[in-house]
Amino acid sequence: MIARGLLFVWIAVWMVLGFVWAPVVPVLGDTTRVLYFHIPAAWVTVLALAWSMIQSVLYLAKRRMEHDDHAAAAAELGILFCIVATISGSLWAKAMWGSYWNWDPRETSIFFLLLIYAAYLALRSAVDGEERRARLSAIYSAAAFVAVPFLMFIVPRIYDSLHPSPILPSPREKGSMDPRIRTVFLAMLVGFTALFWWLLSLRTRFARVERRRLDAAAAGA
Amino acid sequence: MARSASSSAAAVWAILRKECRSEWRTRYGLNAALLFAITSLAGVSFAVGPLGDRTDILSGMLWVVLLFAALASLSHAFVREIEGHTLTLLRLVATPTAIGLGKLLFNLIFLAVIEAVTVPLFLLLMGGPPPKWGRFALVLILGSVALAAACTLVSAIIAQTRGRGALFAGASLPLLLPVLAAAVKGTRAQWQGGTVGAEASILIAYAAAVFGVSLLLYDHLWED
Amino acid sequence: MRPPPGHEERRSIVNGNLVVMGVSLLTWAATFFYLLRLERRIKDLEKP
Repeated sequence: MIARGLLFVWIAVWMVLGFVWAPVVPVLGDTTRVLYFHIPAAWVTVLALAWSMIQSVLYLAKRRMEHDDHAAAAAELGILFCIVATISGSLWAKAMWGSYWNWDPRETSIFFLLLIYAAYLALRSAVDGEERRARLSAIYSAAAFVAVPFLMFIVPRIYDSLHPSPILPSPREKGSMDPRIRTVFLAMLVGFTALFWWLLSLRTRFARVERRRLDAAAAGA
Repeated sequence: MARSASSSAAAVWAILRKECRSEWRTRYGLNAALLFAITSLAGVSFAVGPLGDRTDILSGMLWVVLLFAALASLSHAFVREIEGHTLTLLRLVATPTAIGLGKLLFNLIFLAVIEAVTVPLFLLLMGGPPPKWGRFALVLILGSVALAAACTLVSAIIAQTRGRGALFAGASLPLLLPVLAAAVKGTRAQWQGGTVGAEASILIAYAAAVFGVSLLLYDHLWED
Repeated sequence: MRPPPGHEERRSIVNGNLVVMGVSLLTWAATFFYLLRLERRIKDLEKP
């Protein structure tokens, strides 16, 4: 209970500090604050994907349903955070560069992650049978894992030369950031990660409870 | 897994021959795939018109047409098995890896046949400059191998689900985007006078990675 | 005496920021308490 309260206060406080204490990045103006939400959301998207894929491989190796619960829960949360990251990024791009979507490397990467999540969840919804669903989606997850390094690192570099990105500095120059901005940013990163773990635990606990009820109903019937 | 290498190779070869023979017997898969490829090419050509020297659009269009052809036809190998209820029999006589390899080789041949018709038609209809044949063929072959490897694996997964065509396309696309990006860039590079070494390496690496992962995963695919 | 125009403008931007901050805080609070309720429900389901 204390941990929950701490999480609430942590995010609330750093949110406020981000607005009234940390300065703005000159080139971004008042939209600077978006980065306290947008980048942590994108980070959680990647974290959730990694967790989902690891749990998928663990399921294939150990065949315990807990791993499938985690893989599915992480995917559901991941697509949620991915949508938040994509929309916030798109609105930010509109405010900064005048257009909602440019297929620049970052945007391409996040869109690609959205595709993977969507395909994974669509696959799960098309399979009957708990064990088969777990197995097939785990296999797909492992297959998609191959594509991720290519699409996160190699393709954006290719796309860069196909479609020249806007001639404006990317707001990801964290190295030269004002220390106050960096503090709030890192704090929000931690906060979002903690939030993700909490949501993940809620979702997996719910999955386990549901399965127990279904098993009990099947045994009773 | 005490099968010797030669008996595995024999199994793969046998499966490949069986695939080709059963496909050739009815040919409905091949016919439908060819028809679809030519139709989408005709549609693109009609909508866009001859592109002259717009080699950037040309390379993109070529791979979009090939992508459509692959998505429309490469799930066929496994779906036919499921619908004909012959998968159980197949699993009795061959290891999952041998089945996967056999299907992959079949899909490669299938794709090659479709491309043999579609690519020359594309070059004729879209009116581009003559390609540098060596580099063009290299990118085409490597890209097709990568496409087939990814599509075969995904189709093996999808064949056991309730959704077929649309789900296959949706599930394949994330795995095909790297191929698309590298192949389009490579095709464009050879038209614009550059080298295709980097793109070819990416395609080889990706095809190898997908193929390697497939070998690990096929054992898990069919267990009930 | 009217304050110089620049000063007025700046005040409205600060207010805008505070509004966004307020909305974000409210959203976070609402989300948090909703999640707390969810957790309570799950705890109840987990009991027997």
